[in-house]
Amino acid sequence: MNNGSSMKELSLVILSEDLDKVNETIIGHACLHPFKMDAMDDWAKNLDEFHTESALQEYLSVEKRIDFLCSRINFDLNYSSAVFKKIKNELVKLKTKDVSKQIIDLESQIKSLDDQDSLLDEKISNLKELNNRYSMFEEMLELPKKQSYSILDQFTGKIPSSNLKYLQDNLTRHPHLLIPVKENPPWTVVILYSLKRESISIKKLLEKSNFQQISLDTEFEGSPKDILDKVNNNILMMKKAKSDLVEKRKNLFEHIRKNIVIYGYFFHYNSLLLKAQKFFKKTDKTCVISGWVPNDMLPNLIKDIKNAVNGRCYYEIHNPVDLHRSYTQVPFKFNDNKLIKPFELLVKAYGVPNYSTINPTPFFALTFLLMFGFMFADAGHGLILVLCGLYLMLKKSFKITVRQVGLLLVLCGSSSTFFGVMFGSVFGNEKIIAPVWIYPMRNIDMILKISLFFGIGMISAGIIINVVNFILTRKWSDAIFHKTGLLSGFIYWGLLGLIVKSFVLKHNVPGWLWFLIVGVPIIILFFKAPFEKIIGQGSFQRNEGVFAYLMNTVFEIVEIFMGYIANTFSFIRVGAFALSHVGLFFAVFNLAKMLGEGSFGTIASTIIIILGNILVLVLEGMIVTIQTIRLEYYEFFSKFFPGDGTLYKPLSIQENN
Amino acid sequence: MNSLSLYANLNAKTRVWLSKLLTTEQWKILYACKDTRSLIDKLENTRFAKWVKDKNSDNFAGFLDTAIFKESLRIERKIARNLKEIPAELVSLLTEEYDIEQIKRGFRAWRNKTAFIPPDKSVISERHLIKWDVFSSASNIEEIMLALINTPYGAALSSAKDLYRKSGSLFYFEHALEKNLFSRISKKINQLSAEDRKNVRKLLGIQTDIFNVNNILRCKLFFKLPAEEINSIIYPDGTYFSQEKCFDAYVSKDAAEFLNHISVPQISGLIKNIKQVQMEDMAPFLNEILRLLLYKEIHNALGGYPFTLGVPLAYILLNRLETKQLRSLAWAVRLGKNNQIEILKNTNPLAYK
Repeated sequence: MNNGSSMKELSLVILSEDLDKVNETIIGHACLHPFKMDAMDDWAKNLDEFHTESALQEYLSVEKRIDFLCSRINFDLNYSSAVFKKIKNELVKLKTKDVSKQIIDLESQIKSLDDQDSLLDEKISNLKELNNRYSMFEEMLELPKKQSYSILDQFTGKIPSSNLKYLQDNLTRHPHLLIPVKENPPWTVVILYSLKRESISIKKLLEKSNFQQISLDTEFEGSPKDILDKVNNNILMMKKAKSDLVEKRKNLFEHIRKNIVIYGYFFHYNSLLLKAQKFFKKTDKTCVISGWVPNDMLPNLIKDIKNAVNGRCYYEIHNPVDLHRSYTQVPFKFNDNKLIKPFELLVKAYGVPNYSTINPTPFFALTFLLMFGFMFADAGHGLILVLCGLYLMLKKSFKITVRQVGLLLVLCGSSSTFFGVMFGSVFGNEKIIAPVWIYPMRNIDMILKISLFFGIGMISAGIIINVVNFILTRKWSDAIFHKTGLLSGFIYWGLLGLIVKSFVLKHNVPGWLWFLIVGVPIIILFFKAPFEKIIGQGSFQRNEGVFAYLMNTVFEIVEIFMGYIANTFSFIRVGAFALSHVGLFFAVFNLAKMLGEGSFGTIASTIIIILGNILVLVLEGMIVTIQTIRLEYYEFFSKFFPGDGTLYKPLSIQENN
Repeated sequence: MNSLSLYANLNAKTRVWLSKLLTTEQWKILYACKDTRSLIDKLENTRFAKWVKDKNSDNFAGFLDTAIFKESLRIERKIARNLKEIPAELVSLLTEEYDIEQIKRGFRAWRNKTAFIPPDKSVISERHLIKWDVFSSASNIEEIMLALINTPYGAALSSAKDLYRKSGSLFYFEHALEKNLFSRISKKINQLSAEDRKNVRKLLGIQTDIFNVNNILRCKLFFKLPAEEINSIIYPDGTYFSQEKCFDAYVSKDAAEFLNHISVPQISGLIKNIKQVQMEDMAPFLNEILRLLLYKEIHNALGGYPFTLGVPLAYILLNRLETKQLRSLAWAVRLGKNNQIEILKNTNPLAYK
């Protein structure tokens, strides 16, 4: 049974002088998930702590700067134990202060180049804008600055050509000089001179004429032509400066690329040491290290630690069950194979399983693929997903997470292809291949029944896993009386059987059978509290009172009935989406057929089919994914998976371990 | 000290008169009037109250034509009386403009052979003895010139005689009269004290510029006067435009070249872009700018050293400008030309702060 790796609690006492060696060994093995001993055992509260917070903050801030540098040079500093081993000796030679200064210097150099670059961009953009504006007035011999007039207002701008007459007519009442400069359909570029004393009324008139001001404010002197020449010269100068910057940046990036690995590992390793020390305790001369280690990795770790300290250490190994540790405290280590590893991402998004409970990832993977493929059954679209997935998977420059998403796409695409072949659908077309199984639209009843039965299967699996989890964690009462425990399961399955017998097979079901299968388990549910009292488990409140207890149980029973009914019918959407895929394409092909009758019909219908396929692939692909995740989380996981476990995170140079 | 004693009294009086001129708010109210009755009502609260008392709205605009002349002349004579020697002579000389207006009226009547009523003494300067009945009785132009021979106008008319004969247009006589007056004014200005001369030159110089620019444009656009004769209509001593500049502007090919010669510093940048503009469109704008500059100069004179001839002269110009604007408004209102009222409002510098 896959229920995560078995863990052992390791408590290690070493001499303070051996701390660095032991730390190095622990980080090298990358298998110890540290915890604070005083959180588990009260006696440890008397021990001192390592005060590493301020030093750690400093290291982390430098690490952030390193991340910034990496992102700027587009370099993925993927910390790995292998690289660390190779360069370990070089790291010893480095001094924190020097490296830190180097990093800050490099960062400020990049930022200074960025500032210069954005300043140049802004200047170029402003100059280009100025160029555009002055181009409109290129034919003018001179454009005096507005402020050079003491009695005149100068308005430079454009108005819709259709409004020019309106403007001219209305200006006759005012002393003015209107110079139409350029026709720039549908605009006319104009300069208007009027008396300053009439500013307000002229501005109103211009506003009514939909006049749009073109500002000609600039530091450049001369005629528009002179200014345009100067602007263009300046743009060229700026561009030259920009290309110089590119060269400078290239050299700087090259320098960073040469050193960033050493710098990165240096700070990453040192901050890791400090992070580890946060969990450790100490006395005057000794250190106490505590953590969870997977059972299979423990002997090697112990051996290497002993070697590192020449046997000068004391350790204890305990089974978490023996120490009555809470199952949420012990970390859960996923041990899925590579094929279903990507599904861990989706499982972790919901939560982490409790230690020693069943790992839901394989179930999740299987049911996710079945539902996705069934709902998005199309061999053509499936193959596209496979190809996209392969691209993401095989491109080595992508991060591991992206590559895992690639594998996810390959698996989902394969499932879609499989069901596409089963349903005879290729890019929505059901005439290319004959279905190996059925045409969904011609077997709607069957599709919906399959969905329903699949849902019943999923819910049943959820109940069984939940019961097993409770047994594994020795919660006997919950195994029987929980809302998704054994009794609820009996009620659910019994009811299903009775409904099928009575309404589907039309058999006469006697009342005593209803009572026996549904009534008796309900009655037993009321004995939860006495049972818990006998075995000494459970959360029954002694002061609750009998009436309150009975009411609680009644509501729980109602909740069980409502919940199971709603959950079961929720799975009908699996069939509904399988049908909607066919339905959507029915609409696409009909539209294509309608357009195909006109001139350029073949081209139009081909375009519609291509666009329809893209739309369905993106839109339906997204909706189906969301719906599948929804069914997994709310209908399946909610039956057995509280998600409040602790994820296994060992001290390791590798971030993704 | 001389100027102080000379102008102190007149300056105080001028300040009082200035305070009675229409304010920008009053102008706004007047421009909002839709008919003559409401214009008369609104004028009741202004210095023109005595004119509008019991006035019938039917003949108000016509009444205003004469009343304005009388009032302006009365004030200008009063100013001249308060002055001595050259300044007094200069202001008196300015009143001859009213004579010229009447002579022009006489010429038109003579030319059109319509009845000519000799002007009342209250609308002429009375500086020269003019036999006004000649405009009714003369059978040819020589008789009129002979009747005016003992006045400066006779000489002016003689100088334009040939051009008149060639073209048959009274335009040359009218301009000869005005040019003669401007020349005499210019000579008189030269005799003023340095301080007075500086102030008066600025004020009357811009007015001369306005006349010159208008005359050149009129000749260029309508009369097509030969280039060699253009000097006959250009008045001397403009502030911005010399006679040479005016001549060059007249012979210019397009609006750009025209403005290149006829330009004030305030619009210098505009000149080079004027290629795209027709002279007809540009002329009113230029005229308006010059009027604005004159108005600014008037304000400078009023805001500067107070004991100069500049202050009373600035008042004379403001008074003429105001009465002229009011007269135009009265006629526009009488004829119901709302568009014209709007234009008058926008081109009246007195209506803006």
